[in-house]
Amino acid sequence: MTSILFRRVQPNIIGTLLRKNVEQIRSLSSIPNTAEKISESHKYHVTVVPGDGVGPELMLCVREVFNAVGAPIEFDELLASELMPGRSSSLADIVASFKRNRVGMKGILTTPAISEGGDLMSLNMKIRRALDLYANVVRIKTVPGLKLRHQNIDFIVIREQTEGEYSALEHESVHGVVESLKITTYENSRRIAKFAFDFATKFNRKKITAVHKANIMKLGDGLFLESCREVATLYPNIKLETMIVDNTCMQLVSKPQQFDVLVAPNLYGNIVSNLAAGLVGGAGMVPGESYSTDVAIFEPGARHPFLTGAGRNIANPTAMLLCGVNLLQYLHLDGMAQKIENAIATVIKQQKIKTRDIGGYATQQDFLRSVLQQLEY
Amino acid sequence: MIVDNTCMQLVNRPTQFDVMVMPNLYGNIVANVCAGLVGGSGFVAGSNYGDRYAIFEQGTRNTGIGIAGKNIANPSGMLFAAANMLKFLGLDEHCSVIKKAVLTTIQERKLKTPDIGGSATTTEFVQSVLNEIAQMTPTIGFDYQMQKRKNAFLYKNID
Repeated sequence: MTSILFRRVQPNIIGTLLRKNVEQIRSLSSIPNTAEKISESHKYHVTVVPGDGVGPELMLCVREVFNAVGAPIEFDELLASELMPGRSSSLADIVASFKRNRVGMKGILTTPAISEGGDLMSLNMKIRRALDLYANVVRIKTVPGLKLRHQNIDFIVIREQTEGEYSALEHESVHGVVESLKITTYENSRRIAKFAFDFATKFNRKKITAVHKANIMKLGDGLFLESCREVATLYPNIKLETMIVDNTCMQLVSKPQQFDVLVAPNLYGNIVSNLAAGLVGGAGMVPGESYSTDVAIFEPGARHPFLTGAGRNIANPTAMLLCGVNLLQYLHLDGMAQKIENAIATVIKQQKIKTRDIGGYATQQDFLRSVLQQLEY
Repeated sequence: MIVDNTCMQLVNRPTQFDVMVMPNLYGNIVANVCAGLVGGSGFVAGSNYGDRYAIFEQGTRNTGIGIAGKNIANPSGMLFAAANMLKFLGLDEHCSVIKKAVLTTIQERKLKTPDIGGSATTTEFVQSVLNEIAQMTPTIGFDYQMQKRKNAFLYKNID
């Protein structure tokens, strides 16, 4: 009888003793002992490129939400735009800023029909090549509260971003006949496959589907597939499946719940990620990330600048806010990230405030105000 | 419209599209997306036109190896393609009879093959289509010889 009492009481006594010791030690040392003190003196610098269209207003939304939560983030803002080449920062400045801060947020840059220098490569591609952002990750997840055709979707699309069809190597040897080169290298294919498998391991995913069209592009996509299979032998717990891109698109439209992780070369990844974004509510709902070995950039998953919506207060800020959430998680500020994510999920679940693209009538500011209100609870 | 935006619009609001024209690869992808939207590869008929020849086949080029020989394939796509071929040759009533028969089987008799969520076999489906055709033919009154060609969609020889 007494032994039982003793057992129950003893841990508490030891716990309080330990706590007293720790406080004594902390008060004696010179190390700051509260998280607030650390963050006041140390802010993370994040490069921000607002982009065109609705990008600038969405970045303001992100700033307001970060202020409300008290995130220790300092934005280094840079203007980059192909629509305003005179005022845009040079590529060298942008790249230097991203490399210095190693984290960034980016809006969508439009590629105009006629570019200043007349070159075939857009500013987006130049930034990606210069920073070697080889992997683009788009997380597709159904958010409760939206009227969607398919429910319970939860997969990731990993897209190779530097080569493939976007190599900007086109020429017209004979008038009326244009030749485009699609470049596939063993190195880049192996790199993206390894990234996909590592990502799947980190987030406990069980199956990777490689998207290809190797029945037509036997050498190019065949090389991609071979690299995926080679890397798959290093990860026995994860299953590799291959699927031709047209079949993938059909399956995405009829049975999207079967997918777990999709890895694709550049063009197929673009199409598949946009298709998948459409399944969960459109370009306003899906965040994306771009990774290189030193830099991580957070941008919306479906790259539509929504030029017609600029300044009209109708864009859906969810995608950019979720990019901000992912940014905070990347910087290990998980508490704040979770708070913002819960606030957004609550607002959408209540279904009272919805922007036009997800079937409601609210404006962007209404949505932002309700998210900020949720954050105050 | 850029192809990635097209795919997103197809998933969100497909009713905005009327006719879509595009190059080879994008066409392959978009055709498969659209086929998925209307019920799968068993339903869609495709036609290939050239200057001299026309070939009618299923819209999505899936061989269906996994379901071969099991009597569960959906014959509607191939039947629609065959009906389109008849129309191309100028036999409009034959075409509309076949199409109506297939649609009645699905909508009124509710005989659906497994890929659209039913449990009928291919042979049952085709038998029902044949019954429908037999019921419809007295009203249009044709015999088994070819009718005269009306507004035949034929190209002249080029050379």
